[in-house]
Amino acid sequence: MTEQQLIKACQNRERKAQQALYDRYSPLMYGVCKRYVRRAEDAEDVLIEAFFKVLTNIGNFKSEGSFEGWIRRIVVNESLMFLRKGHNFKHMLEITELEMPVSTTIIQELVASDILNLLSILPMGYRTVFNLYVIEGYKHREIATMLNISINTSKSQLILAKKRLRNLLEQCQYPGIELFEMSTDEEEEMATSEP
Amino acid sequence: MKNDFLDLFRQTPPESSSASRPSPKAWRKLERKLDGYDRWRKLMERYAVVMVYLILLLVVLLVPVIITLILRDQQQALSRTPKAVIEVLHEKDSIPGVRAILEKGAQKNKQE
Repeated sequence: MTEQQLIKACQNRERKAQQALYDRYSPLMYGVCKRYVRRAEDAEDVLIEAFFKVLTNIGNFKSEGSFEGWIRRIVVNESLMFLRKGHNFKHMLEITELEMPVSTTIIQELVASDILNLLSILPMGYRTVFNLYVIEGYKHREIATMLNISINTSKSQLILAKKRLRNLLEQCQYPGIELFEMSTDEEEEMATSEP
Repeated sequence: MKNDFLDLFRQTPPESSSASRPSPKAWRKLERKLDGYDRWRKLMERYAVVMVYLILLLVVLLVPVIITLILRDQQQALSRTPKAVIEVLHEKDSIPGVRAILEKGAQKNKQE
């Protein structure tokens, strides 16, 4: 079944098509949820809620853009809503988060399975901004609006996340890490990102 | 030339983070949610026309009643308004100075 046929069948609320759509996109979207929400049970709840929205609002999907991108936006928004329920980003991000020591073995295991797993070690604030900026490709202005924080907070969280990730990769002697450049000059980072 | 550190994460396709899948009970939960939504939707669709007719009937019945009540209230309010009464004051009640002025005025009017 092509994507268009699947969408059409889902718009007609055919249960088999809904399940096929879920089977096709849920593993990928579960991965997205897990990058934002640490606990597997919570990530699954977020995924269910997001797919419920996808399947009940599929009539609103305009075939102009990517269908996967549309689902992904819903999943990201749902993950942020979940995080907002438990935390106030404004307060959460503006306090200095403690850096918990993590054993090298754990880091090596995480990196070996998937480098993106390393994000799970990061504090919630760092992780959320890093995910939105680096993986999803949102701008600092958009992140600031989404999380109800200032643009500078978004920028500083990204810098801190980058530093922390680099330290973790160096700690586990990630092969070829020295080939990657990271500006440690915060001013430069502020200047290069959007105003 | 060195690569950007962030490319290390950007280059990793998001698919690779999907090594683990949601548990089968996740779909069952979602299915139950969808069943509930479909039931509610069907119920709404079935009763939507009936509801519209009921609302119209209510409007048709209530409008004349409301108009009648308003008119009755207005009539009652009019009937409760006291009629104009001309009070004849006793000489004792009047202020002497004012009375004298009024009497003079009345005499003048008569003469004219």
